[in-house]
Amino acid sequence: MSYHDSDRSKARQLMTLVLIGAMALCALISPALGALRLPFLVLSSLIFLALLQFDASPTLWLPLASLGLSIGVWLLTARESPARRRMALMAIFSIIGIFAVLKLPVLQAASADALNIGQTFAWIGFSYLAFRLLHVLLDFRSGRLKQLSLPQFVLYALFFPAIAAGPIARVEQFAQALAAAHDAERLTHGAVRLMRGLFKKFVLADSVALMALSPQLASDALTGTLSGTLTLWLALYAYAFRLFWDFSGYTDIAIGIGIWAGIKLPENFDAPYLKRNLQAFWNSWHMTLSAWFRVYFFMPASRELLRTPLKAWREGVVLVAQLSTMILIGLWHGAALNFVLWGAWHGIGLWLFRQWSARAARWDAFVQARPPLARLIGVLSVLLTFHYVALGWVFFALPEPELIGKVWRGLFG
Amino acid sequence: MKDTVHWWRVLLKAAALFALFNALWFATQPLTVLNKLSVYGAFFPPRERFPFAEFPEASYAVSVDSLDQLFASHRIAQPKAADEFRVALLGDSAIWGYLLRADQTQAACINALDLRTSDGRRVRAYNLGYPTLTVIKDFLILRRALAHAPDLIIWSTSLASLYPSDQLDFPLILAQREEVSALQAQYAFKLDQYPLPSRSWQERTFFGQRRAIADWLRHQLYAPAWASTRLDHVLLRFVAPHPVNLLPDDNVLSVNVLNLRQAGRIAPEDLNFDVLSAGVALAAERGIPTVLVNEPIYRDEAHPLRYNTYYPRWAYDDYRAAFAQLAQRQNWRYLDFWDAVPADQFTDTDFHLTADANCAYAERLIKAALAQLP
Repeated sequence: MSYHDSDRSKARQLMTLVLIGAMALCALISPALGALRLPFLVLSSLIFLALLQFDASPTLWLPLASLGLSIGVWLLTARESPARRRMALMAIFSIIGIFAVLKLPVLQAASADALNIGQTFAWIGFSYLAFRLLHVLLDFRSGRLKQLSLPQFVLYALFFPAIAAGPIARVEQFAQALAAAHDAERLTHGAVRLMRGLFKKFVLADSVALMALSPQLASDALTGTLSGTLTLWLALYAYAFRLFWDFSGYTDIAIGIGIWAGIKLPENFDAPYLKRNLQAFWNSWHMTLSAWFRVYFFMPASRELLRTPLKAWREGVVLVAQLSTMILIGLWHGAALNFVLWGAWHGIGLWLFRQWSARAARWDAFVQARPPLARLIGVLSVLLTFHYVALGWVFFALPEPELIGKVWRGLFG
Repeated sequence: MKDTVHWWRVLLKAAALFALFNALWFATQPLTVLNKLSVYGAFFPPRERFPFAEFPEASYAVSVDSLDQLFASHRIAQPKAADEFRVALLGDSAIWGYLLRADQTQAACINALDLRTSDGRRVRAYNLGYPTLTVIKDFLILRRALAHAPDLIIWSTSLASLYPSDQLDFPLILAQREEVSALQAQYAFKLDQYPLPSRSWQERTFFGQRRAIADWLRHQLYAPAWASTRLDHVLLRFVAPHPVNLLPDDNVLSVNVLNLRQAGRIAPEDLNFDVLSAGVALAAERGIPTVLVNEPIYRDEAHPLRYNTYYPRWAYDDYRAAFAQLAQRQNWRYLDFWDAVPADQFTDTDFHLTADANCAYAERLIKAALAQLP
């Protein structure tokens, strides 16, 4: 950390605000452009893609590659044929391959060297672009794809409010939103979402970030003169809310800007920390990502596993499918052991909840017949679920397994 | 019936509400009350020294310019034990403990000694240093420290803290400009930078005070991190080595800010000994003794013209002579420790000591200071 880093961090925050302002302005004026709306939004998306990329690594190759990849997938999926379906499979593997290169430091360093673009680089927006394109290719292979024109498709893949932090719309959702009549209240609705998002991100999230768990704080706390259990819990709670406000704040900003542009993006959060069980949590946290993995990995994986000898133990199939799904979601955040552990924590949690709910019908009936008890159990369930999720964030926040272990021990005295 | 939103009306109402809120803020000045409140000491352990942050994210501290808030968050604001002999240490970055952990400062070293006074009271030292070279800042701190019942004040200083031309232009002092003006009306110190620009009306609004409000909030939010780490200062892994190749001239480093009455000679009147004098008198009015200390400096014994990057020999020798002369004339308790630390025990500047040297010096300091008491 240096003055230079601190200045850079402030400059980045200012740049983020300026970009959000510019995006909001583009969105605001686009509905008034009539037939030029679509080209204007496509062009704006490309410009914002380049501007966002410039902050991470100053190269135009990667935004151009995003555009090229989108056009390529559109061309590939424009018409049905067995050859195209085979090529779609190759495209799927290629996108996953790029993903691996971006997430694995060894592969990234080798690629950066080959492309001569520095030792490390970030391809801003690739994660979400990849999810959209994989969804298109997989739906194309299963014959469910809704066709869009090229400009519509490029806009779907690279729509500027959703480049960096989602949400991941489905093609049919996006086409519907694009074709929908303009909401007369869009200015109000968009402004409310935008303001809510800005408040969540820049006031709430950035404030609690000062007390949130981080590798440095954990390390300092555990090597310092005191490692108070209470303060570690406080840091963990702060991290949980920081993450939620940060991410859901960006989602609100994206949805607000989308509303102004006349394109309602899907919701991504629905009060996740108030859910009574882990399954409900995952149906309300980063909902578009969870849905993507459910449709394109969990369900196909479960079907395939049921064709193996493991089918004799049905719950074993569910366990393997849930574990692998959640570990994959973890690996999407980064190719590191801590993300694997985080995924496993949630995979096991989901499976345990499934086991509990399958056996608790009589208990549920007993509780539901007694409203005060039901309310109490409801509150306790919310607290239990929140704490399970919060403890999972320890894996997410800290890269070193040793530090994770120390923090866990610190949290429990 | 459908409600229609008129944007100009929304904006107009929002602007009116914002203006009203600012007017209320202007009239009531809630920040003055807010600055007396702190989570430190109430919900979290108090700070051991005033927050001074060059790297807030890494040091769990943010620089706050309100002295009220600095004191509200400091350990000295806690109740005094019945058997406590309270010692307040005033001074610059050497007292604050630059490049040292909070538990390596002179105050912490003194507390580790667990000394007793002759009447059996436990000596507890409080770090009230702040990393700026100005005695006006020390005086402002001293005035507040008196409210916390110190039994002894040890005020360390150096020539560079006494330049009349370089006393006021610091954020901490500018934030207390009304207090400085009131003091100036009372004491008429020799301050070349006075008068300070008065606070504009905008600076009294919520909008104008947004940075101070944000800093107050950030200071509170760092409390859990401070409580769990006790870290408040980034100890740089690589410290620039102490400069040894001194300039071959004998100018005072800040020669442009030192308006000497007579070229090549420093007299007591050239420096802000008037501030020290006022501070000693103010404490004495409450029966509190003050020990003034000329703090240790790095010395290049071989250089014919300079002791260090800050001080040419002629200027520093004149300053020492002036200090000793005044101390004798005004009957001050005075310790000249300028050469108390070997030259190889200094770190990045002419004032900062290694942790070991700092503790050894602190022991010598407190024992000498206590010996000055009746």
